[in-house]
Amino acid sequence: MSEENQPINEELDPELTGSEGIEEEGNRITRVSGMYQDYFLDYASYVILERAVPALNDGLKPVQRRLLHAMKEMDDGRFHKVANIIGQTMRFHPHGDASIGDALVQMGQKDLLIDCQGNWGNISQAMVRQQPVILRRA
Amino acid sequence: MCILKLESLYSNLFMAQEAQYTEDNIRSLEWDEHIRLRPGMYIGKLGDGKSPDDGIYILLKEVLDNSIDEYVMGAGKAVEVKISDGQVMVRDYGRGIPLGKVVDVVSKINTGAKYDSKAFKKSVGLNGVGAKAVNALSKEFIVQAYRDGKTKRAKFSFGKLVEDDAIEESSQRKGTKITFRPDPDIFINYKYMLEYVEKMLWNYAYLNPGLSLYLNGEKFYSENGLKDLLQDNLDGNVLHDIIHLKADDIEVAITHAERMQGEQYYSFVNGQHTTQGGTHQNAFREGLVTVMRDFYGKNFDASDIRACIIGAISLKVVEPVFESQTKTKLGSLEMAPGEVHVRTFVGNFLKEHLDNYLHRNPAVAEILLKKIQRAERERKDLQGIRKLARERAKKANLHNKKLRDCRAHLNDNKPGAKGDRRLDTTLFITEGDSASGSITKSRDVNTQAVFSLKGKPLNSYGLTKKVVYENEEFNLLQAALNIEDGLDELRYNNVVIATDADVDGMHIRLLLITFFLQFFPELVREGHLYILQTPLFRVRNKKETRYCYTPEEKNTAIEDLGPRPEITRFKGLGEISPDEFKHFIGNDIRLEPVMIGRDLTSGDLLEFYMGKNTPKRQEFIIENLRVEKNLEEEFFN
Repeated sequence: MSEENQPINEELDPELTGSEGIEEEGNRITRVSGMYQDYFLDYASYVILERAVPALNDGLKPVQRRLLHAMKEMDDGRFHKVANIIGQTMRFHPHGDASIGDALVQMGQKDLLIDCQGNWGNISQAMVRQQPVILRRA
Repeated sequence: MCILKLESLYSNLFMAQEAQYTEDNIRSLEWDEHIRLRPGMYIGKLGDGKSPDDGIYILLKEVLDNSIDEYVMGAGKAVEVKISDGQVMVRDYGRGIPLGKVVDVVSKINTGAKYDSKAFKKSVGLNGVGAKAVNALSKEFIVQAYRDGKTKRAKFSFGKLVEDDAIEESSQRKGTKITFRPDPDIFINYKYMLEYVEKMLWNYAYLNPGLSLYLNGEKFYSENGLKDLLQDNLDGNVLHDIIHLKADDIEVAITHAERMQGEQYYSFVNGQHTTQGGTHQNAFREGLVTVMRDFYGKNFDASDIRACIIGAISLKVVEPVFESQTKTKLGSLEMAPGEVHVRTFVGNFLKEHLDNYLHRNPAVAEILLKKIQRAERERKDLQGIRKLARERAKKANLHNKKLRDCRAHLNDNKPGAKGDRRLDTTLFITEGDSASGSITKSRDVNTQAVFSLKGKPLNSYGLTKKVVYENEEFNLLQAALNIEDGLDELRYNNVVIATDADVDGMHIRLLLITFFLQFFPELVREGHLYILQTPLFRVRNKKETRYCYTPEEKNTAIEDLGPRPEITRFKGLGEISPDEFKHFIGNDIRLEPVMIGRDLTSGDLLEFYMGKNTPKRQEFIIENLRVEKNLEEEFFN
């Protein structure tokens, strides 16, 4: 056994490196840091572009723009029920009704673009069923 | 009751009459037939490579163990591993198998050179079975030995010799080369995850300082053994330099993390990573407490002494006994049959060496004392709230309203029909009730449980452990997983985050991973946490339906399925009907493991992404903003 103990040159075997001729397996898992980056950017970009920040062109958030569009389509000079407006808006807005309703309340309270009637912005479930809204004509 | 018993008796009698039992029934299997018939007996579970204890890694390990043994015997300081395309090559520069026996050692069961050598009593190998099991379970298996300027090569297929070359001259360095390709019929759709192999090689490197391992050219080498192991796996700052103690048959490394957290151990027996600990780890934990109590002369609480510890222990035991087939938990009570107890051995070692160390390094002793006192204070702060939460948890155990449980659990002790499926137990954490509805309907009630979140969980970054008790959702989740006192009693082997593949789903994933990294990092570290991949698109025509996980897959599917296939985009899990869901959480389930990388400590990572808004993060978002052009159009469709 003694002759086996000589120091051994640790270089790779030339015949083995690459001679098998098979491509490297691209079988990598994304580490948690990669996941964070990926998920975070997806979410942050979406929130910035599509949810929370008003656009430069019209000063509206996407949900507000969709509300106005839906109301314009429905507009016939009469007041409409909040619930109906929310229902129409949901065609364009891929989120829950509550978030649309809240956005509508906010817009109504600004008293600029839409006219509202009744107890506005209080106890929102009852409001949804009763209070009518109309698009204010410019 | 009585009637039932009679009925079963009757059916037993009936069966006995039916089944013939004669000489013809008794069969002797060839070794390779037996291995192929009962692979579980030899390599544990099969699997496809998605979890680190799957069979294909055991195959690699069995082959590698032989090469490592050569190193232990003082021959060959390098081992080379190459994995590509499902084929594995292991080349060592040891003494090489004696050429006349090359065929025998890989194809005759119970053949080996290690039966009587003392060094190999302390090995975990299968003793004359390992290489044969690999051979029998491989579609191709080539063994080539080089020694004394000669070489001999033999090729097998499913354990049967197909080529037996004559001995030839060779200028190659001595050693052994084994190439194999696992049988795709046994390991269905297997794929080696290089991450797992890397982890395995690192462990070999730490346990065999001085040995170089190469994986596809990348080098794995450790100078200081377990000390390097801790150093490389540190997550954040530590309180003091690593204490590294060594003696015959035992090696120990200890340090303490600065950030408050639980205990973290790496334990090894004869080179086998025992992820679930066992007697040696328990002895280590006990020993520490005894030494510290004696040293400071105070009766500190055991949990305070061990708080924040990061420790590693490697032990060499003669003929170790394991509690599980996968050898992840040591059950041996004695160091060798009839010798001292593991507990006494480890205890005495720590008493002598650790005590000496503390006396020689008063600065470290001072730091440790402060740490213990701090832990004591924090524990007392938590005590009141914990009591309250316990009561609440008791209720939760009786009825955890967010959980729809399954029948088998990881911590079931009884073996038997239920116990056999323990490793399959899975908890799906779903977003909202709509998704959990379809999962609940289509799950396997025996092994798959569902926990439904409502809305987005709290961002737990920077909060103390109190929040786990105060927040109802977290408290119920903790109760469902049963991890309040560490991982030992974890109820599910796989914890799967199943959220929609939309942006809010991503956000929930972030929040949940943060929760686990923050309070239960060991769950992530030991690879229990996964993300469920669900298809983004369904493409179908009249004949065929295909589910696509990426836009690229969708495009190929559209091409394949001809002129105008129907394309559906799944925006949320609620849109997938239970019948379809069955395929996504059944055998073909696609799970992406959550793994902590070496590139960033999780402290920094969480601080950056989940902490207070910083200009740095703003810049990062601005630079990397992802604009999706057709987002608007999609909504209108």
